[in-house]
Amino acid sequence: MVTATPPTESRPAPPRDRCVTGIDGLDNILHGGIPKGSMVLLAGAVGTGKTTLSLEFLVRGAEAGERSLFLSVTESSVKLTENLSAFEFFRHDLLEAGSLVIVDLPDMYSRLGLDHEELTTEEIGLLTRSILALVAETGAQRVVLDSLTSVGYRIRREERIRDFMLTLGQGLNRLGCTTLLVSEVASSEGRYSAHGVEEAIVDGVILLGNASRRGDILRVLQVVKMRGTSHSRAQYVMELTPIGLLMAPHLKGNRPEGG
Amino acid sequence: MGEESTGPILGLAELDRELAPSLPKGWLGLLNAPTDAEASLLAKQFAARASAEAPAVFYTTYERTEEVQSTFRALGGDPARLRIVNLAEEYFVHVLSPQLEVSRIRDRGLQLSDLAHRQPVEIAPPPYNLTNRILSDIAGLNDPFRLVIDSLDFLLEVLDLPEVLTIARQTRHRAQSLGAQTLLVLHSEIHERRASGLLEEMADLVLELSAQPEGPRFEHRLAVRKVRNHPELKRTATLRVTPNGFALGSGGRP
Repeated sequence: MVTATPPTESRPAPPRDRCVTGIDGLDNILHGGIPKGSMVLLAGAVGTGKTTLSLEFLVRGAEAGERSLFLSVTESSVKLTENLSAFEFFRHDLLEAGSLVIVDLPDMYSRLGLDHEELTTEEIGLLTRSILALVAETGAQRVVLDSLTSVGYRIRREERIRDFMLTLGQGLNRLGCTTLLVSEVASSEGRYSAHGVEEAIVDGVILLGNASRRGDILRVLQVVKMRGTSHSRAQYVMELTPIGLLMAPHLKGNRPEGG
Repeated sequence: MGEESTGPILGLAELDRELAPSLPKGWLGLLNAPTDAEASLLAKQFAARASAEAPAVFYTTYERTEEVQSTFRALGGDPARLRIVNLAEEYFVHVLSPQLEVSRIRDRGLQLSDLAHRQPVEIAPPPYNLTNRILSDIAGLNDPFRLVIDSLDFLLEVLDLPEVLTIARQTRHRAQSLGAQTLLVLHSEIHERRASGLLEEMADLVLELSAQPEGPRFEHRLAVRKVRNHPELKRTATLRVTPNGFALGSGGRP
């Protein structure tokens, strides 16, 4: 039996559900937030606010009822919590309730016996499965890996980094997670990641940098790429305040320094 | 020839009297034996001859500490003169047990509870290094001693040969400096000839213990294969097994 296919009409794709970051200004730049299930590269040099932005993204999510998971490579959970305590938006009760979970990735390496410098393909698979298992166990809908660069140092080869990101991205998407992958780049590099393959795989790139204005160094944010939504490509000044990040349009005439 | 060794060598009276004048004051001995010859018993007999001036340090790699102590006492040793370093237990705690835990976690999948209440990474102890563990212990010996490593087989199993040779070389150097007596046990027919050859070359005294079936019993024989600079002392002897360990057979000579 042949079933007739109904004629299709050319319609615009329905708008995707958004993960409202809760960060002042960023949701406006993204016209409502990050499309849910996206994997976004958060790239920037040292001191540009990557970790703070990531943590506020998670805290705002946890406050809104979305469980959040922070995978930290460079800073211990103890130190991160201490640093977070300086911000008014941070609430210890979110940690206590398990709405916000911080995991030390070196601890995870140790528990999985991933002690040597370069991970094998099999070990990368084990790491990916273990991250996804933690996401599933915690029920996290927001995940941050801080940083992808540090994990990349142990994966080393471009093709393996690509495979790691693809597998992780697919798994996180299936679990309904919106993910930020922190990428450490030197301000002089003019790129978004250590290996150059990362930005091609992710759904979005948010670039943080520095700009000088009358002798001051300002933090700036620019959404370079975000699949599934229109967004502003303008540069915004990002201020770290006790109540969280604040965005304001970056007035023309300022000379950018980073990113 | 330098100062000669003092005190009993193995607790085999006549043999000890022959060897003692020809060994330097600080020496390294190698005891070769197949696994069924009970070299470990002879090594403990050597350790049991420790004195107050030269107490024994016994590195065991297979036995429980209580077993070593018990045999040591049965051989007439004074427990106050014995320090046991149980490398097998240490290796299990620091290396094998974590490996087992890793296998368990890998098999059933990582859970959040595996990561909770863990020691912060900043103050985690350095990884266990068997070579450093032994060398630092030997470097800490400041008086004459009577040292046994029972056996090198374990070290050759988990370390590279150059590291084992370094341990043997440092042990010999320490023994020479302090006038100490050391005996390293090595089971034959397990390792490459190169490993045993290099160790024999380094040793001042090479003994070979064997057990051959003789009627309903086994006859133990001890061959003195090498006494550095004293080829005339090469010999073999029949041993008897007594409640107090090995003794020379009738007449003490084959």
